[in-house]
Amino acid sequence: MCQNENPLLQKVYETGFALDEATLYLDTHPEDSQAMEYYQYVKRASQSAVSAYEQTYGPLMINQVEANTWTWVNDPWPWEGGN
Amino acid sequence: MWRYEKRLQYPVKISQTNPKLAQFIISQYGGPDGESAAAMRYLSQRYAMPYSKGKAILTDIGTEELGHWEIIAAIVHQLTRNLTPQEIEESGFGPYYIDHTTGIWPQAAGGVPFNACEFQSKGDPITDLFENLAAEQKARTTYDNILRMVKDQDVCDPIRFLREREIVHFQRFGEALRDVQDHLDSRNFYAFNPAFDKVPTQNTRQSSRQNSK
Repeated sequence: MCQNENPLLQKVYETGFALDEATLYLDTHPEDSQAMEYYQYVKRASQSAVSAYEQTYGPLMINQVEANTWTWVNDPWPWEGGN
Repeated sequence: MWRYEKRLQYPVKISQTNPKLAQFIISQYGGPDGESAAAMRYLSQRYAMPYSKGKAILTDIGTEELGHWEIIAAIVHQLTRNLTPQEIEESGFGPYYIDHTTGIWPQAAGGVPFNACEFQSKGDPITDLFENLAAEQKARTTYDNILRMVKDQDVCDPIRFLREREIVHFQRFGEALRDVQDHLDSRNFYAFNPAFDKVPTQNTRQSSRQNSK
């Protein structure tokens, strides 16, 4: 992956992708205990990457707006390539 | 239901516009083997899937495809930002521009509009999963074709990511197919359609024998 200049967002991408891979694998291998351990690990990593990013740059999910104003509407939006 | 996550699954940051390339890549937005067809195919097929692993994989790959659809739109959008009329004319982007300006609209590279006939939902889990295996390979070929035309690293990078996902999804659908077949009679997988036919159980077989006596 090309390195993102924002290291907090880079971490969100990396851990989010690991979670996507683990969850699809588990869908067809729900009894794989090693994969379950990996899932628990990447789930925690992804959660902490997301909250670290959100603290500085605002919500990634609509139910994570912590400010007094509606920061969900703030630019940039994902397709704009400005992150 | 779905909730939006305000990021792409894979980042897209393109500095050099290229409307000609955008016209090729838009095929993965609304073309015959594109990401919109993929998402609709898998999410629509779920209702005829009798087995739990299959229900999960159709849901989660279908959801990921929605994210890929958004990545393609982001690529096309960034390739066509701030174009001048001269650039549009010289690049051959004119016919698209006349109807859509630089808005995003689902069509194939050749201009054919998106059509639900690009995918199948046949109501038979074996048939549907074979459709999906073929669909993932067709999308992989399309990405191979696109990659031969791309020289810009900013565009190659997310396209390569999407190409690799086709291969992973092919693998997962293969596993789902094996799971479906494990539920069926290995002497004849096609003896009945588990999404439609009432499956004869031991008890009903016995009772129908008694009835016929």
